[in-house]
Amino acid sequence: MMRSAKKELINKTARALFAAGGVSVLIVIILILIFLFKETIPVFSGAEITGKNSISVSSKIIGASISERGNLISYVFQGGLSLVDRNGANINRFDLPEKILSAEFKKNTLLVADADKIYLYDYRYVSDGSASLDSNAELISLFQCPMPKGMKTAVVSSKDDTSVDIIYYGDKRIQLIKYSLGGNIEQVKIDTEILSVIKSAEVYFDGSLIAVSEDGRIYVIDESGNVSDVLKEDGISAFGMLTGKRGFVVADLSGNISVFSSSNREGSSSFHKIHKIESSGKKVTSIFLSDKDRTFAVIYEDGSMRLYYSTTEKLLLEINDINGNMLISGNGKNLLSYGSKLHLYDIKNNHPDISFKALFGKIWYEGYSEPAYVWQSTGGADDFEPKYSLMPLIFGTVKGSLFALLFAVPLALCGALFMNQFMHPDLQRLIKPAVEIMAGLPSVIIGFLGGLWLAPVLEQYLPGILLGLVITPVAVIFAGHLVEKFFTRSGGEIYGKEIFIILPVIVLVFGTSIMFSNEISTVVFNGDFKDFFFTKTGTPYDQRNAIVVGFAMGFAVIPVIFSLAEDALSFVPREIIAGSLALGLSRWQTVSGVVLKAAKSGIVSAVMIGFGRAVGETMIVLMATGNTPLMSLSPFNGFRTLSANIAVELPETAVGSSPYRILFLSALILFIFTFAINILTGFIRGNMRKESK
Amino acid sequence: MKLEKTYTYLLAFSMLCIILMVLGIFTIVAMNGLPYFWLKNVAKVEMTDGKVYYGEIAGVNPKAENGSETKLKVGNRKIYGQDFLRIKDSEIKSVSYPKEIIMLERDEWGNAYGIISDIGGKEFDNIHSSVMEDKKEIMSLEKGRLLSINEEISKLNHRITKKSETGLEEKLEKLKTESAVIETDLNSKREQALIKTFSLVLADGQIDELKYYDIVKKYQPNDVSLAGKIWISVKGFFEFIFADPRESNTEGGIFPAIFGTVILVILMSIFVFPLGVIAAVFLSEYAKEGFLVKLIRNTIYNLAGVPSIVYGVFGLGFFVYAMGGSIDRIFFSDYLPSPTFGTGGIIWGALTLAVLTLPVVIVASLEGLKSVPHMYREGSYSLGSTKWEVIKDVVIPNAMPGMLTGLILAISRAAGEVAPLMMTGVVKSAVALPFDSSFPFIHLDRKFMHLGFHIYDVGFQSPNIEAARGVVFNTTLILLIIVFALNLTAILIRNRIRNKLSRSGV
Repeated sequence: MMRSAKKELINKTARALFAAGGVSVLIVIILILIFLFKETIPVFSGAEITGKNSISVSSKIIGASISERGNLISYVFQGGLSLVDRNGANINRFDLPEKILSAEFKKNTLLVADADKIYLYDYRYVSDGSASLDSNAELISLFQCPMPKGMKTAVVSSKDDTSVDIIYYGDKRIQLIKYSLGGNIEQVKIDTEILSVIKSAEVYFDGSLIAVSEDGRIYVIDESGNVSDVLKEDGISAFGMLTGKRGFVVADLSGNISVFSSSNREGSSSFHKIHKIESSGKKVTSIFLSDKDRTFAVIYEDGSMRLYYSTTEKLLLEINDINGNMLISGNGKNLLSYGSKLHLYDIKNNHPDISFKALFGKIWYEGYSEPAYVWQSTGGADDFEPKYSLMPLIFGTVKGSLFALLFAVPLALCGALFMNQFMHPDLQRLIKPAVEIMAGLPSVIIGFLGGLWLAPVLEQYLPGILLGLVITPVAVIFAGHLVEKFFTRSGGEIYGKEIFIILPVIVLVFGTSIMFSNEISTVVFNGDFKDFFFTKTGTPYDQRNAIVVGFAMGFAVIPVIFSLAEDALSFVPREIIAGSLALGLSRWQTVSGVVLKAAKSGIVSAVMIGFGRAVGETMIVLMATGNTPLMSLSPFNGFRTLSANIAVELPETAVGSSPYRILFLSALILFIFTFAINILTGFIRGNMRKESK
Repeated sequence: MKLEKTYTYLLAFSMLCIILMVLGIFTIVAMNGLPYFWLKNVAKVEMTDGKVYYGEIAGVNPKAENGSETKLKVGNRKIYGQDFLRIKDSEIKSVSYPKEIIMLERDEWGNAYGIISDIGGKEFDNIHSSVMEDKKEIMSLEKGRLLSINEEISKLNHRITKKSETGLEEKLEKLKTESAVIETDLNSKREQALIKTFSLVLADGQIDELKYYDIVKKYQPNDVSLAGKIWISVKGFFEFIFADPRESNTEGGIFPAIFGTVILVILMSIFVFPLGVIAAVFLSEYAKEGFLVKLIRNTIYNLAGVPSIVYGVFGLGFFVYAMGGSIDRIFFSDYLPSPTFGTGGIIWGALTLAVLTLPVVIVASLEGLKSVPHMYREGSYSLGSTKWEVIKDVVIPNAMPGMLTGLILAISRAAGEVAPLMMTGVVKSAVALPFDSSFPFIHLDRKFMHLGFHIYDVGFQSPNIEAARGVVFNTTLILLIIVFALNLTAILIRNRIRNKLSRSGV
């Protein structure tokens, strides 16, 4: 029969369409993987220079500043201040005193000093209203005063609307003076003598002064003027306070860079060297720090510069031929070096705070008394040190999954074995759909009941429930034996319908043990189990804890393991079983010696898939744990898993930020892990099928 | 004692535990949820010290610290500060159930209990129903015409300021006057409705001046017969399904959540069903077993094990930010930086769920296709059909039950899946439904409410969880019923297919 050309065309089109549909599924899958990778990879890149502008200046630059977004540059020379844009075009010019020795910009202030006086200005970049970029600057004189006697250097330490704090130091004396603006009243807060020559000083977050000396001593001067000589380095060549003022960077004479921070334990604070960057063999001349994050620029005597990040100790960038000083713009995207010339670098430095060690290693954070694994992506203040360790989350994921498996594996495997090998076929037809319904229950329902129903019940009746879990099986066995002994002549009559005998036993025994929960806890635990547990172990009892998750997530995992294990059991050829029984082995001997052995690999893969399901489960852990990223082994503490962490934090995270990419990395880890488990078990099951044939 | 029997009983015990847990879930949810629809009698509790309370007895705690305690729901939160009161049983003088006590369900501040003395029951009902009608009218005006006028005004404003179009001012003025007219009309209507008040005498003799406008329903629980109570409970259950939430979701109904779930599921089905069926037909009918086909089949099976949160992350990054962001840059650039599609919306939720449920649909469809006997195909070929005709007229119709099973399972999964939606646009309380009477009727960019998320949000994020228990357990019950019905249908269809398959001997 001839087919018409039209029919042929339709046929071919359909073929192409279906093929396209099939392949598009593959594309979707690949797309997911590529996309997750694409969003994750930038995390591990360092910083790079994306552009450089050089601006030539006629006179020698004494001090300079760069605006928040890096589009405006100010520099001070003898007798004046120039404001230029990034190409060097003049925007504004202000007059300053002649013969100045130093000029320093700090947080909207400019402090200029000549031989015997200091001049303080309010200096800030302003936008003209329509654009979001700054377009000009304002200089307002605040006050001038003579340099206190014997002092050589003045530094602004903090300023608000009504007052400004200035640190003065000379050879062996240091002062902190507070000036009220407007009235210009001064109040000496600290005035102290020190034994060695002061190189530099800054105020710490708690109000004390940190002063470093040439000979390598670091002094801490508290608010009442008491000096403690806390640390000794091998000479100090540069010093700087990190943003947030909870840590400072020190370079010693051989070029090693250290970061110090204090921790508070039982009321007394002690300083630790929390980070150390080994020397590159060159002497450090100065350190410049970012206001935005913990990035700092180290200038070496040979004119090279290295950009480091304190928390991760990561070397971000190296530039060889800068001249003199290096400023980091407020948004961290520009570097300005100044000396005889101005060089403006555009840099890409998006994720200085992430390194392999930051994600998976122990890190000594500012304010901690020892290195720790911590996840805390946001804090109260802008200058908070983000902590991105995935370890507490991985720990929580494993802990939750193990508790779930602890509960689910015995029940699911035993249940599957019973149903497959012992249960009456009529009952089987009823039970199988029930397990499938169980598999279809939304995890949000299970998690909800876990958190809002089970957790309070468990808290109230824990001793009774624990006892019930132990004695009910025992009671069931006894009851079974009794029934068979007295009510049936041979065991055969109830074969396959055992569950009807044990149902009342379970209800009775379990119910009784719960009813007497309070009595048990009075007798065994001296009253309250929670208090007993706390005094014995020192860890508090969380209402939403690992046991609750174990039950709830176990519930979600049981049908997965059950169905797969039952599947594996039914692949065992009936001939082997029949043969074993024919050889005179009992039913149980056949099951334990033949069936289980034959189905072993399938059962293992069922448990693995169950584990995979538990690892990725989100809603149950989100609702049934307190979601605190703790690393506690106690079964009565909560935890936070990788998946719950994504659900909690991703909706509120800025696109492209470090936490955003880390959450994508978490998703990628979950994807690859579960995919790998599935591929592996796929192989096992494939082999199983082949063998059974 | 034979060890063998011991093992058998342990196995049976495990099996029974699993079954009991499944039954337990249904029982717990129903037992905690359904009583909220029951109209409880309101007790008048007289204390030995002369105090009198009206309230529902919410529970007795015989083991409280200072002897047996009774938890009384006294309502009137606006006056007493809290809904519940714990009283010592030893101090109770008498408990009675006078018929005249009235329970009022209110828009705000929870229930009120008391006695209305200044107005007769019939009269009250007449005024209340007339005020309710005014209220309905006010609401429909507010949500209908006024909302759409305001939307139009903001659109016009946008066109005038951003695109500097001219000649629109007149239209704008006209709309503004219309909006002002409606608003004054509304205000006067509302004032008239609000002015009508009555006084409720509370248990302690205080008089609370209440507005008819705030009263949702009035009951006289102690004066209702058993049949009446059953009728009220049944009505309450349906009202719960079809009413809007009140008091930040802790009272009232869950209609927007059900509606959002339904629209979401429909959108998802539109994406996933054709694609899943096409992929399955390709794998089963066209593809020759080779490396590529094996790869596709294996990845589909393995995808089923990937956690749903991963799809959520993908949905947020790819659909919302990448696709939605591009749509915004191309079509809605004048609205930037406020995003139109570049933020969570029902379309992105549906697409994410479509990707998530794709393996479910494909696997079930493959099973359905496998159940079509080869003889059917061969018979059709022998009559001269092309491959496409065989597939279209013989294979797909016969495999349809399997494909539908896949769709049903996918729908059931989507109805209960929450984690991916949290990233792609589900909200606790949507301003407007994703489907309404204003053009273009279906608003794919709107945020939506969802049953599963509603459970999470009301149960775990609301400030007064104790007050929200009724809503959250009953929402769970409804989701449970939906998922149960869907799964049962799928299982029944699939069992029929399997029977057919084993009968046909393939």
